[in-house]
Amino acid sequence: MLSSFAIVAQSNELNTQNSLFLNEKSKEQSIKVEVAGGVENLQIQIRCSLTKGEVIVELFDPEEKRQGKFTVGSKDNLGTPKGEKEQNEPREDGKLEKIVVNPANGIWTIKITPTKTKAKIDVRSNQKYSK
Amino acid sequence: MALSKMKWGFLLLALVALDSTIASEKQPHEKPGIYGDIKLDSAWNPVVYLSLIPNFEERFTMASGYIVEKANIDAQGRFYFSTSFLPEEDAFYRIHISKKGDPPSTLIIGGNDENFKFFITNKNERIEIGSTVDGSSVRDFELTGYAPNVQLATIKQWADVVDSANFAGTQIKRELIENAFAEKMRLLADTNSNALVSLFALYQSDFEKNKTVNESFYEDFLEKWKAEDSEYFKLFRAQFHPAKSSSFLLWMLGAGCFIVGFGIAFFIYRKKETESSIAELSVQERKIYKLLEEGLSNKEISEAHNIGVNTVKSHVSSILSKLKMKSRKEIMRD
Repeated sequence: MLSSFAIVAQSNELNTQNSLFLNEKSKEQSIKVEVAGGVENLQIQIRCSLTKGEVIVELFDPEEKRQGKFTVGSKDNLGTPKGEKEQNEPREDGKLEKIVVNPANGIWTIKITPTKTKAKIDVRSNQKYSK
Repeated sequence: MALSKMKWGFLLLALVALDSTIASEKQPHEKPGIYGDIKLDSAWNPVVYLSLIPNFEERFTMASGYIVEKANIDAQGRFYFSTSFLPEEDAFYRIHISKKGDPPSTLIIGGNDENFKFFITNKNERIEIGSTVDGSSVRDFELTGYAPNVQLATIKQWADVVDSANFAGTQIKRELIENAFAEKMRLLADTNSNALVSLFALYQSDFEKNKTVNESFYEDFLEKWKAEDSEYFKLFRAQFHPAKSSSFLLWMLGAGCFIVGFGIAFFIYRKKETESSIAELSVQERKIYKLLEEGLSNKEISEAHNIGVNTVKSHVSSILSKLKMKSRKEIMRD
């Protein structure tokens, strides 16, 4: 599995980006996002392009309480939506976005659990500070 | 007379035409289906997707395979889904839209741009989805037409209140809000007359955490809806009962380990006891014991040691007595 990481800080925003390339042998991954005081909005965005399997994404707050569980892709349902143009290789392009207003301070964890997955996943976080 | 007949004929034709006009105008409102009249801003694609959610665990799963139909939104903001191909029974559906540049399988959860709405319907019901505010998001859509969706909307409103609560507040405050919400969901699940609404409320209440401390509540709930055999209830039963079956498996595993452990301990004890007893045997008896271990008969032992068969019998009897054994076969097993 390959991965890359980037941080971009602007005047009242902090953005991070992680790119993961998963294959069938890839195991569970965790991405940590540190939320400092004064953050009004935490946005977690997961963009997946799967050709196989599924990816479960779970978001845990600093108290390790799960704040969301989302799945992209499905073992039995790969394909293009009805009416869309068929691709040569069945591919699932999905995007999940979770917005948390007034997030608790501390380390938020994004747990990515692949199941026999062949995918590229971009995980972006955006923190907006109060002005 | 002929003129009068013609007048009546025209009148009759006019009435038939008027009746069919009224019927055709009324028809869209009476026909089952999902009718939309919404006002979106230009950030969104003018396409609505209808997904059939197979179970409540997957309500936030985004897979194109769940999309059963899509409809274009016309210039007036109208769209329509036929429900003729949907199941007769109530099922859980989601409509969503996606922003320009995003894939059709996009789910935005929380915030003003939340892009989906859940609802319950079946092939015979009529659902109307509307928005009054220009440039509104799916969050502002009003869904009318099938009674169970009123309760569903209430659940969503409560969930939004919890989501918008100040999470930067203390842990205790947050837990109080979440516990109050879960309690409210359980109450709604207990009192609602629609099976899917009741079950949805339980899933919103984070029942996995509560099921072990409030087991009788869930048993009563399952008893109440025992006739329900939809996939939604099948999964719920499977999620609820493993708690019992897994503890039973653990019990069985523990019992198995105990029996195996006891067997090993007994074997070691017997081995040690035999070893200490062997030390009590005379030199001649130990020699005969060795041959007994190899399975030799009395005659063979008498020939091997050049002693009489009766003497061998006497030694064997003494060996068995000292080792507290009933037959020479036990020596061979050891």
